[in-house]
Amino acid sequence: MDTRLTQTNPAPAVLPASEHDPHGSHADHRLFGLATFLVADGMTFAGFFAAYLTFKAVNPLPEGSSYELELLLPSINTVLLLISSFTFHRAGVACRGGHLPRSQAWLLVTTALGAAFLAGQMVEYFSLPFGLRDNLFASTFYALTGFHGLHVTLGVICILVVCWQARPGGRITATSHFGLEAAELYWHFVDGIWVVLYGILDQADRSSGLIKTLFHQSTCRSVPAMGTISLSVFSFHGTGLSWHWRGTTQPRQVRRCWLVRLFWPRPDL
Amino acid sequence: MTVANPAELEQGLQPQGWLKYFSFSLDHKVIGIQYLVCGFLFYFIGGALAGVIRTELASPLSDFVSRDTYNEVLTLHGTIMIFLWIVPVVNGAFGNYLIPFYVGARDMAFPRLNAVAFWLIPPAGILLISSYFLAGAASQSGWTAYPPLSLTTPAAGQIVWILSVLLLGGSSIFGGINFIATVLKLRRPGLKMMQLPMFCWAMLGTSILVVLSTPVLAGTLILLSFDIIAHTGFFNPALGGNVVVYQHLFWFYSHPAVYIMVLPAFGLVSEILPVHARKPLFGYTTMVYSIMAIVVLGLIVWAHHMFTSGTPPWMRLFFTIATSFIAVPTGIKFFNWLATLWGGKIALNSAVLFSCAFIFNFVFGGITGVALAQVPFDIHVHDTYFVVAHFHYIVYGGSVFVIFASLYHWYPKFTGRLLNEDLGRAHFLLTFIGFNLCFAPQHWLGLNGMPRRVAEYDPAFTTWNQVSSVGALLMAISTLPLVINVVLTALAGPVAGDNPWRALTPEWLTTSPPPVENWAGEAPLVTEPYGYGEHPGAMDLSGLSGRDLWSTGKS
Repeated sequence: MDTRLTQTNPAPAVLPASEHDPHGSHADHRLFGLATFLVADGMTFAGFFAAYLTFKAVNPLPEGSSYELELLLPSINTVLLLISSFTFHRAGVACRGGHLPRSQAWLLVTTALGAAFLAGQMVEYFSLPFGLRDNLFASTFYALTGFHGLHVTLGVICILVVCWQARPGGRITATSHFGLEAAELYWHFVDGIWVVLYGILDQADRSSGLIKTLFHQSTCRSVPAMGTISLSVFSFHGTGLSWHWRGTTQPRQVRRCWLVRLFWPRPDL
Repeated sequence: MTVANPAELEQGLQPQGWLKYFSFSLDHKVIGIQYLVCGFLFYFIGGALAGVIRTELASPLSDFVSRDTYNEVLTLHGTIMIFLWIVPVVNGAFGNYLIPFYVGARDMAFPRLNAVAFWLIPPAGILLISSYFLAGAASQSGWTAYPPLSLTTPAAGQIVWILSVLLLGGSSIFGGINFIATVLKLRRPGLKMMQLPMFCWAMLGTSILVVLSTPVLAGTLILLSFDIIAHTGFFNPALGGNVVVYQHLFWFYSHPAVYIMVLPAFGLVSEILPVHARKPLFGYTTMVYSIMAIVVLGLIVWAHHMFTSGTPPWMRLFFTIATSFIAVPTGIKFFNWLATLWGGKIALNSAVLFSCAFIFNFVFGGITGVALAQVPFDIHVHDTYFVVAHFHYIVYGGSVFVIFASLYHWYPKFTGRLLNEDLGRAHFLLTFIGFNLCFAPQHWLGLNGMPRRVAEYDPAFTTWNQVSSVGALLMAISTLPLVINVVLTALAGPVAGDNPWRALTPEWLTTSPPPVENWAGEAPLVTEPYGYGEHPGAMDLSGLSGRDLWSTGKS
């Protein structure tokens, strides 16, 4: 039985197209896609962090081991990564302004900082008194920092590729530079993750004794301070990216906040 | 800068005809069909495994397969059905095929990523199934892979299982990114979010869940593989680890996974019912808010799977309340569907029969779900067949029934031919009777204490297990009319015409099957996708009382 012919057919509520449809082409949404992917990637880290914090809260370690680490090397590494975010940002600004050689120079500085971070991580790995399987904290420490280190390694490779592409006649130009912006967004993400990782892995829980009290105070100050720094990096850079996310790629007048204008009066942003 | 549609650019380079379905095609319609056919192949494999389980359980003794094989079979059945059948089909197949039409685009936002996401699935599936033959022993720890069980069963099979699930999770995330970008960014100029067909909202909500929760599963499985390969102790109590952390992280994905399987089904039903009832979708706005409420609530209810895992009382209280709350948006959607049907000119074809059966089954599964959220009841039936019955009422009675309904509804769109209605109704009757015969008795079995995942049981349970097995046999038989129908129709079915259902949603406003660019000219701007019955704007509800709304709808 044909059940289709039981009633009248209403007129489709279709309106004519209002604008010219550029046949199958559309604005570039790759950066939006990357940002979505980074949210997903961040959730992987969030899972690791949640596991670590739960372990720390409920699983006592065997006699003689603790959930603490030396502080100097990770702190230096943190500073290195934060600086590298700024240098990458300078590379992006230079590229968008059409100064590709200058952009390449900043990219190389960023690569050096990233490599220095990785070297610092390796030094820390080989100087630590525990191995992967020694206790729960050791396992979690290596898993967390190792997973982050993989991200940094991938980032360094990406920067080198982008740097190569920014050569004269390469695929990155002042007007077409998705690779550079993607690598930049990714790099800021990896830095932001490190700030959180450093905060919960190295800084939390230093709360007894004079030195520890000092450390504790430094924790109380440094975590919000680092958060502020990373947020300002993101907001500062975000103004440049937002037009990408909106799908318009025309150069535009960017309104920067007064603080940024005060310290960074760049005409070419 | 704009990017051209790669599917269009590379059209000359890509194989045509049937070969394109085996190629790295960038066309969202081809990818959708690839997902669909691939999913159905895995459905038949998973169904055969279910047949093994039900055959084994037809008698109380472990006499059909060995106990280890039984464990492998139930693990493979669960993993295949979830990760290779329902998730790829409700998300990948129908999402990829329909979403670009619904937003008025020529393809998805990232066609290459789309193709990559699909082509991760066949290798992952083959890897998973081959572990049964190659690695000597497939994973035996169930689809949940709880440690320490997963640490003591054969390691090779467990590692292959983890690899496979990681690949499938990656595929799912790539798909989710694509759907979010397509719905939010690729809408035709002039098309507002609140004018989108409901399936777009369902896929948006689903994709948010995929992007937020799937990576957590990936991270957890990486830690689990460390425990298996490197003998770390994350989840191994003997080495100072914590098994409950695994359960938290696992269910943080796997509870939203239920919504990942069933939210797209909600969306598909919301597309099917208005067309065949010739009425607008009832309560569009509440439907949208319900979907988003389910997304938010779905992320904070995971520990109701862990009431017997030593969770503290405050946690039980919180998760009981949060879980019960989910019944509210779900109930709103349920009543919206009923109100859509109410007073409509319903064409009782296979698509509608399956959709109505979905509503029936899902209400039943929903009620047992609310019951399971209550701690005292849950502790009584935890890990029994009651949970199995509840779960299958949700994912089979819910999602799979909708997949069948969607197949009957969109087959003319895919192929240009109409499926045979008589065979479709036979398929429906066999499936509906078989399904309820198979799973309804399991509630009783579970309430009386029959544990799940065990090959042997108390002989007192024999009768109802045999009834259940007969139901499973009917479900197996029910696939025959479906396969015959699809094959016969593909060979010599009646030509459907472009719009056999006289639907208003944009995918029907083109030829069937559609051209590569979806529309010959410009994409239509459809602002009233459900404008059936009364002329849009002609309905004035301001003068009506509440009782009038429940009359015939024609007043």
